[in-house]
Amino acid sequence: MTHRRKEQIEEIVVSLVAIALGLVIIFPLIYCFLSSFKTPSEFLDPKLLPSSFLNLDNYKAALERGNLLRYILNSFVIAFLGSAIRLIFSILAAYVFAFYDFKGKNVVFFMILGTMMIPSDVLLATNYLTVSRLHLLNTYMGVMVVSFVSASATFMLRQRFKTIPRDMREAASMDGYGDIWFILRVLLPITRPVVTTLFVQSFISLWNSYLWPLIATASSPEMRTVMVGITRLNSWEDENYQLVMAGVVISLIPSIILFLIMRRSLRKGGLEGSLVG
Amino acid sequence: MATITFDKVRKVYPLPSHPTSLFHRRKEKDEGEVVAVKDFSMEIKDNEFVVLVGPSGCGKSTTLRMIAGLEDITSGSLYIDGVLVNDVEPKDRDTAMVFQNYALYPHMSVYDNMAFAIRKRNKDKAEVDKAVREAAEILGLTHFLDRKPKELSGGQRQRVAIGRAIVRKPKVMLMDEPLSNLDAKLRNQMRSEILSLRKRIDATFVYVTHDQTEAMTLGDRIVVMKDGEVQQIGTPDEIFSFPRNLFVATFIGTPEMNIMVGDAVKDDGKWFLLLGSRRFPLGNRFSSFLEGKGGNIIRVKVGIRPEDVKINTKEDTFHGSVLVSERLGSSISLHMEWNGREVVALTEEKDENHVAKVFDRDEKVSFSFSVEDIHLFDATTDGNLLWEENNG
Repeated sequence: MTHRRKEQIEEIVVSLVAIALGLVIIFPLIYCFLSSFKTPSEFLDPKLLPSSFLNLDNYKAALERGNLLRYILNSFVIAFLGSAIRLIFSILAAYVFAFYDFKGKNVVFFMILGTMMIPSDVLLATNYLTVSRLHLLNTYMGVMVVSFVSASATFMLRQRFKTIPRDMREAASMDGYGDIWFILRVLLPITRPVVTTLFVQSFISLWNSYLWPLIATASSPEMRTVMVGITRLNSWEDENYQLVMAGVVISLIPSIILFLIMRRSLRKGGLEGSLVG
Repeated sequence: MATITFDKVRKVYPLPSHPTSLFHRRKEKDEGEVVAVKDFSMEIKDNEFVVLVGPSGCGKSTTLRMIAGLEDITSGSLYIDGVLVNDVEPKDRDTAMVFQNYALYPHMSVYDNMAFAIRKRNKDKAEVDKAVREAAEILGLTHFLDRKPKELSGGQRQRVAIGRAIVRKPKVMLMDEPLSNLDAKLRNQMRSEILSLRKRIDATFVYVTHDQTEAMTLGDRIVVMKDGEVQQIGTPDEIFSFPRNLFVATFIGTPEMNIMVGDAVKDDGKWFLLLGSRRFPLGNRFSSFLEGKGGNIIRVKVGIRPEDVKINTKEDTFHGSVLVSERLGSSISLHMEWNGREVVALTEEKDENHVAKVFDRDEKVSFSFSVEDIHLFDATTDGNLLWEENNG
């Protein structure tokens, strides 16, 4: 067997394994999508495909019975505002860590990183007490406030900002642009791919979060997020899984749209040409 | 245009904290400090071109950054046009700076890079446009205004960096080793462009470099620095022909000045220089100072520039053997061994084909120099004897 042939076979095997893994990952989504068109009796059938893709009853029911549109709005406000505020805080913190020198900078930074080791579930009880004492239960603010600060986003941004030469900030400061202007006009345009990625990531994670929104909006059904709402679809009529599937498909739409829009700005930016060489 | 006055300006950095100090408390307390600039005093005249030159870490860039306001002044006063600027923000000083690595904004076109600086101050679009186009015209960038920095060559980027500074028409132009990243040919070209630029714009220039050729060709006055201290301030001529101390003497000039150790000896009321086994009469130039020193034998360091060392002349004085002979184009830099030291001569001796003659290794050569051309330095303080005499 020649070396070239061996390489080809290797490539085929690797591709097959990758495709198989991909299928395993995407299968639940496909199953969910297909099942959302099934009637209750079809759902129990082992057949994969629904009899008709025109059967939109599940979607109608999910939207009407489950108040799903309201839940989607709630989720959108929380995920969008939450991510935006989280990024603003992270950008400002990362900027200070990357561009300023002050005593104890590293200690503070490592303390922030240290919070990444605390599992979020551990904080559920204390967060609940804090938020309830602030009278923020069952409000958008109450759901969002616990995710305003993200150590990992701060860390990622700081690493990226550190690659921007300080000369650039000094040049801007001599040109009359202070910190905020420098961030808006120079730093963010240059680091847009990282910032966009973090925004998408944060949006999706807030959109998908379940436990905290469930607790924080327990006593006010209209403030539920879509993830919490979907699970409630099942209880309207027992074992109405095709309805849940339709709800899940609806809930996926905003995330997918956001990803498609943002994908364009995820293209490589970077520092080319700014410096010597 | 502006005058810049330094009055005992000093910059002290705390010792950088060690990365491990987060977890391991260091044994000695963090009270060490590094003095980057020591009591710098100088008056830079209106429209003058001053070059700060010295080896790495001599404080020249720190001095420049203090003028820009990018570095706090630890003590002393800095005035621009008579106004104390110690605590004035960089943007309010009316200075512009060309950075060593250009620091262009990568996401902006050449036009926007240059306009960025004035848009903040001037909201009138037409005026901004006029200023940018004028600067682009001066620097030959008109055809590149729409390009991004990454689409430009090193020389063009350098020009944009300069353009960004001149477009604001600042009172003071600061340049931090702007040519150090260019190749030799481009550097020569940009050097002459900076000279012609200087004639076209009204500004006081402060230029930092470690390249003494740049310093000699560009500066009206040169400030030679070492370890944060000013060694000498003077015109290129003064610095070259009248170096204040051994450091300035050897730092300025290529190849560097030869230094030999000898003795000044008084004999029969006259002073002589004893060098090796030779004795030269020292003219009146040096006598009065040597008298002031007291004693009849004074140890001195003798400096002689390679171009003042003559090879194989009639009045041959010293005999050495060739170590290396480097061709520098029309001349030869000849490294010889004499008395256990290396002596360099710059010779233009031609061979029969009218090409500068290259010497063989270990070839015996004789050399001489005129006492008129030597510089005498105190063997302990390294100060130029004449400088001390004249400037006390």
